[in-house]
Formats: sequence, structure tokens, C-alpha cells
Amino acid sequence: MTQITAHEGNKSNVLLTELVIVILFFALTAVTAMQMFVGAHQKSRSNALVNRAMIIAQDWAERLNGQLRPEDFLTQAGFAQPDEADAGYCLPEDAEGNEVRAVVLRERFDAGELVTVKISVLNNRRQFGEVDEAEQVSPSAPFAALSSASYFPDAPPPDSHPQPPESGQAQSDEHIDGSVMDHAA
Amino acid sequence: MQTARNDPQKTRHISGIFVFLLIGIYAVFSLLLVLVGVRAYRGVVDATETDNQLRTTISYIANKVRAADGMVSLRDIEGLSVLVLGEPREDADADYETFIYFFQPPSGEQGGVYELSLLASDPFEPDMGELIAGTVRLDLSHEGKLLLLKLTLQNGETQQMRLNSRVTEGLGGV
Repeated sequence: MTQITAHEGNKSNVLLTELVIVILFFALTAVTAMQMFVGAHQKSRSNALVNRAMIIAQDWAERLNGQLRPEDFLTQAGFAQPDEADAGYCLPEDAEGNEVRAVVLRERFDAGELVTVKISVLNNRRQFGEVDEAEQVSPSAPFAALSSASYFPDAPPPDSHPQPPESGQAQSDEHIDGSVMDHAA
Repeated sequence: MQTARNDPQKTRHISGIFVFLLIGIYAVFSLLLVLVGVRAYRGVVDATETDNQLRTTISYIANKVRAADGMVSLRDIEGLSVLVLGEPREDADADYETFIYFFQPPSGEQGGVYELSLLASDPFEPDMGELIAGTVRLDLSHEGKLLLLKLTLQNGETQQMRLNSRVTEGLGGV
């Protein structure tokens, strides 16, 4: 009787040990799966932020396209003037944490002036709330960046026969090119 | 004696209950993991669909406006705010016009952004258009030469973008 009880006890111990090992492996798998789920969710949120940033950058690029004095337009639109020469104009964060920066570059050519505005949209927010200052994305790594360039030819001399500008082209030969840089936190 | 006989039985019962409890905990946590995974997957799919609708609609309209190269106007036709893009064709006898608008069919079908290409002389019938993006509400207006697109998605999110229409004069009143 005692031997039968001991035998049943051993079987029970083996079963329990096997269960514990199974649960251990399940726990390891669950941790890996949860990491993947969280990563996928964060990536999805990051992509959404990048898309919104790209739309904001395009919006400003279209508004700046063809502006003879983009500096005045940016100032009137609420951009803060830069402290340094190459820092760019800065629009404070909106409700979603998007900060817009614009750098105006002018290049003089023989026949006119090329005005390029480089627009960057930054967002330092993580998907689950604000980040610590130490973890902020570097200002040199924006979510989305575009440039809007307009070429303004010089006016012809008064004694020449001026040609009327083509419809839709006016005084600018414009192009917008851009890239999206994903620097998800 | 009775206590000595009952003790092994009691121990056996407790062991059995403990085993079932362990298996039950394993089953519950498995179920929780699956539920979390489903929720994460659904969230990712919804976010992707929302982004696609937004980007696709804006990109489509923006490319159409840029291709029109200045032949852009906003008109109010039958209470609808319609973006009209001109398409003069040298190989055709007449010019075509492309109408882009938001329309909610009275028959209860899905409302959304529609597109319709017609000869310039043909009458505009909004229900003949082709659905570009459903579940998206498009509001069209203008700020001088800038065309303002305001999209409202089904989840209530709104996004707006301006397009330089490159017209020589104003876009026309809505």
C-alpha cells in the first residue's frame, strides 16, 4: 500500500514538473510575442505621424511656392525668426507635437535669383506620451523634409521688347522635391 | 487510523486540483495573449487603412491639379462644391473637363469623393461619377490661388492641405 502511494506520488511529481516546464516555455514565447505586438503598434503609430508630417510639409511648401519674399510670409504666418543665420524660421509645436522649421536659401545667377525654402517637420513625441529630454530626437533628424524652389528671373531692360509670361508659369520655374525620413523613436 | 487513511486521499485531491489550476492558468494566459494580438493587429490594420485613404486621396487630387497646369476652377453646381480641371485636347473636336467632388447619393449608397470626366458641353450629373475614395468627406475651398482641401475621415480625424493651383487669376467663387 505504501509502495503504491509512493508510485502515484512520483507520477504526480513528474506531471507537475512537466507542466512547470511547459508553462516556462509558454512564458518565454509570450514575452517574445508581446514584444512583437508592441513593436508593430509603435511602428504603426510612427508611420501615421510621418504621414501627417509629410502632409504638413507639403502644405507649407505649396503656400511658399512662388513667394517673392518668403521671409515676410513666414513671419506673418507666425514663424519665429531665427536666432542664428542657418537655424531657420520655426513654428511652435501644434497640438500633435509637430514643429515646422523653414530655412530660406538664396542663390544669385546671371539671369535671376533662385530662392529655395527647405521645410522640415519634427515631432519628438513617442506614441505613448512625452519623452524625457535626454531621449528627444535630434533636431537634425526630422520626420519629413521638403524643399520648395522658385526661380525669379530679372526683369528685362526697358529698351528691349518684353515677352509676356506664359500662363501658369508667371515668374517662377517651380519644383517641389522631397523625401521622407523616418526617425521613429 | 481514519486520519491516516484520509491523509493520502486528501493529498491526492489537492494535487489534482493544483494540476487543473495550473492548466487553467495556462489556458487563460494563452487566451489573453491571443486577445492582445488580435487587438494589436486590428489597430495596425485600421491605422494603415486610415493613412492610405488620406495619402491616396490627397496625392490623387494634388497630381490631378498639377497636371491641369492652371486650368483649375471651383464651382458650385447643384449645391455641390466641385473642383473642375480643364483638359484641352488637340486631337479631339472638343475639350474635356474633369470634375472632382464629394457626393452622398440619395439612394443611400456609400458617399465619398467622386470623379467625372465629361465633354465641356455635357451637363454635369453627380451620380454618374466614379468613386475614388469612400468613407472620406472632402470640403473644397480656396484662399486666393491656393486650393484648400479638407478631408474628414470616418473616425472623425480631419486633415487639410493647400495646393497651388497655378492659375493666373482667382480660382472662382464657391
